[in-house]
Parts: sequence; C-alpha cells; structure tokens
Amino acid sequence: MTTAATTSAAPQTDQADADQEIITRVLAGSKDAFAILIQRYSDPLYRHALGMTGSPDVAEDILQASFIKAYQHLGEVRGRFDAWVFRIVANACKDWLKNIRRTHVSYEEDDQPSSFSTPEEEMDRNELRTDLEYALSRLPESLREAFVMKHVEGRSYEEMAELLETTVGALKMRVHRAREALQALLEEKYA
Amino acid sequence: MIDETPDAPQPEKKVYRKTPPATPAVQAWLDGEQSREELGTADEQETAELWARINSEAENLRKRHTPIHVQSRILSSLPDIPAVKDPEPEERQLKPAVLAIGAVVILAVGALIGFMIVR
Repeated sequence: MTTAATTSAAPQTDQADADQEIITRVLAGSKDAFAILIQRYSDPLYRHALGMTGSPDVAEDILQASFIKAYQHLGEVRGRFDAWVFRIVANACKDWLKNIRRTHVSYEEDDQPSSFSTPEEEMDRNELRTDLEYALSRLPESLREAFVMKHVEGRSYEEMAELLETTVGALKMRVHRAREALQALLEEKYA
Repeated sequence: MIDETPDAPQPEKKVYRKTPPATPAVQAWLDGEQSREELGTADEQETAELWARINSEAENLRKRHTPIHVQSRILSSLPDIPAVKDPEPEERQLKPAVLAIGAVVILAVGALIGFMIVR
C-alpha cells in the first residue's frame, strides 16, 4: 500500500528554528554556515529539478543558480526557509520548461545500484524509465509538478499544499489528472 | 515468396490491450487511502499492477542524491559579498512628511474633480 509521508508540526518548527539560527549566522557574515543549508536541502531540491527537467545537468545548474539566489536574498526570508527555497527552485524549473524547447529528456548518469537481477529485468526497467520520462515530458507543467512531488518526491498532499500555496483538493485533482494522462501515454506499451 | 502453409511457425505478434482507467478506488489506493486488497475488480487489479511498476521506478528516482561535486561547486560560486539583511518593515514605512504630501495631493485632485462636476 502506498502511504503518504506525513510530518508533524513540532519537528517542522524545530527545523525552522534551526534554519533561522543558521540564517542569522550567514547574515552576520558567516558564509560557511550557508553550507549547512545547502547540505540539508540540496537532495530534495535536486530531485524536484531532476523530475521536472529530466536532465541531471540542467537540475544541477538550476540547483546552483537557486542557492546563489537564495544566498543573495537571504535577508528577505519570511517564514520557513525550506518552503522559500523550494519556491525558488520550482520557479526556476518552470522558467526552464517555458524557455527550452526540448526534443529529448534523459536521466543519464544513473549511478544508483540496480535492484533488478537479470539483464531482461534491467532492460525492462530502462525501457519503463525512458517511457516514463517521455510521458512526464508530455504533461502540462502544473500536472507534471504535482505528479513529481507526489510520486517521485513522496510528499504528502498537505506538504505539497503548503509548498505550492494551494489547497489539498486542487492538488489531488492535479495528481489524479496527471495519473490519467500518464496512463494514457504508457498504456499501449505496458498493458 | 510468402509461405502460406498453415503449419509454418508464425512470428509472435504482441497484442496490446488498453489498461482499464484508474477508478476512484485505484486513485484512493495510490493516494494511500486504502489498501490494494480492497480493489475489487480484475480491471482495478490490472491497473494497480501497471501503477506498481510505475511507482517502483518513481521510488528509484526518489533515492537519488545530489552529486557530491555540486555542493562544493555551489559553495565556491557564492558571491563574496555577504547576504544583506533586509530592512525591517518599520524602516520601510512611509515617513509622515511623505504621507502628508500624498494626502494634500489626493485632496487637491478630489477638489478639482468635484469642481469640474459642479460646473
């Protein structure tokens, strides 16, 4: 059974306080303290950029540009840093999608260990991945974002709603529509 | 020449059948609101099987980490000028003199419009 990851309010508050403490240090001149924020949030942000763009190179560039922007505007943070920096990355991904006309997307440089045992399974997996990437690239931006956040990043609807500043109902609708569209794109191949 | 003898082995041709669309029950399962065992029909189980494969691939993507060199690249590319604290909201408030001038201008424009309407 797929379970949605839920986060309680207390750890979030602790995390926000810890982030705020680091921000204060950076604003006081400790550039090195910013490394803690990079280390803390780069993985989920990288996965979001990768899911949205389909390209590791582009995801890296977006991550770098976003953290530089976050550093330069750190004094403007109001509320949670993770939500604020997420919006910077999410907007950068949307800008990239708007500006770049792509003919192919690829998750190259896959250095993750394989959980598939036989060459046939490995081939099937690569084929599914390629088709999933292709199907994702065909989705409208808002559906793609919702699908990536739910299925690739494993976020709860509540968390998504907070980050995207919308309602759980609207996001459920987007995810459901994204699934229908993806299935329609994949069904002939994998039925 | 094409061999049309009925006994000749024919190449296996894949016949695709559309996966049934995701019903509300399948969507609820994917949302983590019910278990897969609760999916009643064969069609729903078939759709769930397709989604189990998609989810498996999505989970592989979820395990990915930022390449090591990226973090150090970001750190080395941060500008030397430290981030500047944004002015406090109080500092950005309008000064009384500016407010007074604004009020006078609005009153004057209002009076002018009123004068034109009366004429």
